[in-house]
Amino acid sequence: MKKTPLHEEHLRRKARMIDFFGFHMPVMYTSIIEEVKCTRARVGIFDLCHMGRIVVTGPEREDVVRRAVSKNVKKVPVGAARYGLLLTPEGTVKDDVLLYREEDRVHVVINCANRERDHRHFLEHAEGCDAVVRNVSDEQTMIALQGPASARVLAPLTDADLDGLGYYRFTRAEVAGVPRVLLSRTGYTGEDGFELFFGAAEGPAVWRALLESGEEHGISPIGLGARDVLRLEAAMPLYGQELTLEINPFEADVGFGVSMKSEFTGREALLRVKEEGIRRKRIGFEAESRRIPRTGMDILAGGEKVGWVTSGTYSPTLEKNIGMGYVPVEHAEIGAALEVDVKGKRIPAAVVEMPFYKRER
Amino acid sequence: MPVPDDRKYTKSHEWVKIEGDLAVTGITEFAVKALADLVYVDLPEIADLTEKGHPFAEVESVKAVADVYAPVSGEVEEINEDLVDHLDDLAQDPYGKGWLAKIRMSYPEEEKELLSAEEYEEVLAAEEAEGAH
Repeated sequence: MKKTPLHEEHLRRKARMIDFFGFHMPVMYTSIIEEVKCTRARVGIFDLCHMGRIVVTGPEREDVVRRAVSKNVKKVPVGAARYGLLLTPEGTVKDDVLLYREEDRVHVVINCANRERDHRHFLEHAEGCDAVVRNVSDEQTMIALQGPASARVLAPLTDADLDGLGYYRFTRAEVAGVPRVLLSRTGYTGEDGFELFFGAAEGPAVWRALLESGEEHGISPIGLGARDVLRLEAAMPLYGQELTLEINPFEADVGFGVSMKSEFTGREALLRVKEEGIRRKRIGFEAESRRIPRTGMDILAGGEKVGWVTSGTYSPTLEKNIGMGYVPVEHAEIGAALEVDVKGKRIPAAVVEMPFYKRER
Repeated sequence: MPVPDDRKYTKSHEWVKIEGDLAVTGITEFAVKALADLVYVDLPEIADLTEKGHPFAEVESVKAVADVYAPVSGEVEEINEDLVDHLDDLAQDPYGKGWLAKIRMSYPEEEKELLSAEEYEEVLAAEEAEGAH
């Protein structure tokens, strides 16, 4: 199994480790529920080194990225990050990514499970172009700091102007003595927070410095278990569950990641989808049961199977069981009464607004 | 984690306290800690038949649903009905208030196939060593 630069830190804390797409990753340090609460109320630190990163450089880099990703990189301000998708020619989702536009490069954050396939996707789109596509996933540390106290934890360690760094903006700054860290105000939890990208070798030192700085703010390391609950409460889709090769961006309700006036693989197919309209849609639901609706369970309407659950969890923040899934549009309106088949038992589930949780700003 | 030596165990982290041909069953502290964040327990019904090594209950946590395997064969005589509403009993006191079911044993000789506290401690040591890699 592959190890991240922070692997030893997790073992020392006796984290519960799992195989996550070939990486030996912490799923939980103490308790998923406690880790979710810590992130919502205080601050959490996440090892995200398993996530993939692609860097595209060279004179034609933005032409390459514009064809490879549904969000038009040329319309993204330098110093901003934007959500986009890698699509098949059929307009279905190969991955969801974050684009970071810099003066001399485009930095792309991709999902762990898709590292190789996404790298090939960019290479294919760079053929014959004056651009260089590099998979830098194993050369970097990626750490997230999430939660209301994030800025207070980070501020003493950096020369960056955090107050001036807006949501979905990034900068290059020194953090814990490491120069030119890519520091962005982004995250996958629905909280304020930051994501940091820098060299693999400096990983443990920065991790420890952040934990030390966070001590007075009640920081805790957060495992993948709580990360999944946090993103689900924020109704953020996860590749492999809400997003797959069978689903298009409009069904998944991530049309904000598509620049229809741009020029990208899958655009023709999406024009047809727009014209014909979608037949099924991603929904959020609350389930009235002690048992948790889980990935792959059937969703029923009027006793008939109409869809499936893509993700489900107990939400410690809402103190309810919540989930997302796909159903035909006629069953997707807010308030629609559905059922989920939990191991042969049908539990009531009502369609609700997403996100399930939204922080106060 | 202390392992009470007044009862027997299975490799799959169930405990059994045998009183005559009645087996009080539950899951061990290790199992509870491994699951963490309990949300539900699905107990068998009274008069259900259990078969040693086959699932007879489920414990659900935020992370996953885990089968509980019957440590002995027999008939369920009593269940800890209060547990569903008091999951803390299972989380805090798995060897006491957190018992799951009492099984009237069909084959009392099955007791010999169960692990002693000492043997179960070895199972835990092996799991711990594995968890570190």
